[in-house]
Amino acid sequence: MASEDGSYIHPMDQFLIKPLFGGDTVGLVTITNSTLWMFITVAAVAALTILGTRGRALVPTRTQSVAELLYGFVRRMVEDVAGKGSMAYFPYIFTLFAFVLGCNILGMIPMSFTPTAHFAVTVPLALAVFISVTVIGFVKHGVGFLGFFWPTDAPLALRPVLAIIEVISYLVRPVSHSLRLGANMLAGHAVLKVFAGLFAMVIAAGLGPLAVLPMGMMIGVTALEFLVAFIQAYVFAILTCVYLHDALHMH
Amino acid sequence: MDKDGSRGLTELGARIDAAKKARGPAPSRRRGSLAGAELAWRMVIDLVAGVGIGFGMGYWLDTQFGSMPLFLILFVMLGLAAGVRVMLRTARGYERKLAETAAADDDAPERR
Repeated sequence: MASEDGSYIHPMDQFLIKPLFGGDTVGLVTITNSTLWMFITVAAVAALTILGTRGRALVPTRTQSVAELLYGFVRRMVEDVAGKGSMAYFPYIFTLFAFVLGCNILGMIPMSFTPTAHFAVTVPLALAVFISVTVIGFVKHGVGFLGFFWPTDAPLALRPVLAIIEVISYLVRPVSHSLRLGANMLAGHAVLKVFAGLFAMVIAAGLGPLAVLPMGMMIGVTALEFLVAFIQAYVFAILTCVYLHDALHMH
Repeated sequence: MDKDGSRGLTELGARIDAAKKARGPAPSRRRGSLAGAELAWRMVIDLVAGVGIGFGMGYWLDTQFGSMPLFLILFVMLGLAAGVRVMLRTARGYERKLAETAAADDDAPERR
């Protein structure tokens, strides 16, 4: 499928945002392919957790046990990492994890779209975590939360400098939180497309049997991508727990 | 009857746990190397983000005060320090986790 410029490799085409119902411009409220796949994710997670557990069977059905597995996994993570008093925020973390995991995994379906490969999606997610965690910190500790940025184990003269460093390292959180998820999904999917383009190029050049090489790479990268899809959702949720822990307990 | 029932259940639970442990997959070693790569990737992003934010803050302050390279240089260095600080904290957390798992591994035979 060579396009008009004759090249086979278009790794970034898959990330194009397209309005679904006509029109060329993407406004504030335009239903795009990104919206569609986010909606499918929400629908899939809702189906799994609401419809799947509707039977409330003592011996779970297959769907119910998947939902219970997901619930138990996130619950243990919140208990272990965020510590005491964090259970009130469990629904939020569960929602985040389920949404990111759903977007990542559904993005592995051929021809689908991965909303989490866009920084426009991951940045608001990370900012929401950052703002809510900061608010929780100030609500729990009042002005004392500022002590989080004031090192007490350093000489007095150094403390203002260290405080600036602490504030910057606090501001690093939303940046790296969103960058990591977005960059991982973006890079993996682009690499997959590059190898797919190489496959087409080798076939078009009449070197048939050599096409095994990019084919093998595609299989390997696809397997790796499934792993990355899960690990990145896990890392996103666990870092949320770490930040929550800091806000609740201040170290 | 009630007491017997609950003790029976506890025993059954212990037996199920033991059977699960015996028949479950051995803890894989491969996950360790991948987790290490993930950790390294995390540290690099933290470091770069720190320098980037320092650059942004310094640049903004300089445009406000018209003192072009002064705050830029200062805040890039502070940002680098912040990045290193986040990195060191991640490393310390990882070390603690390693120590905990090592301690758990040491405890395991004694608990039996």
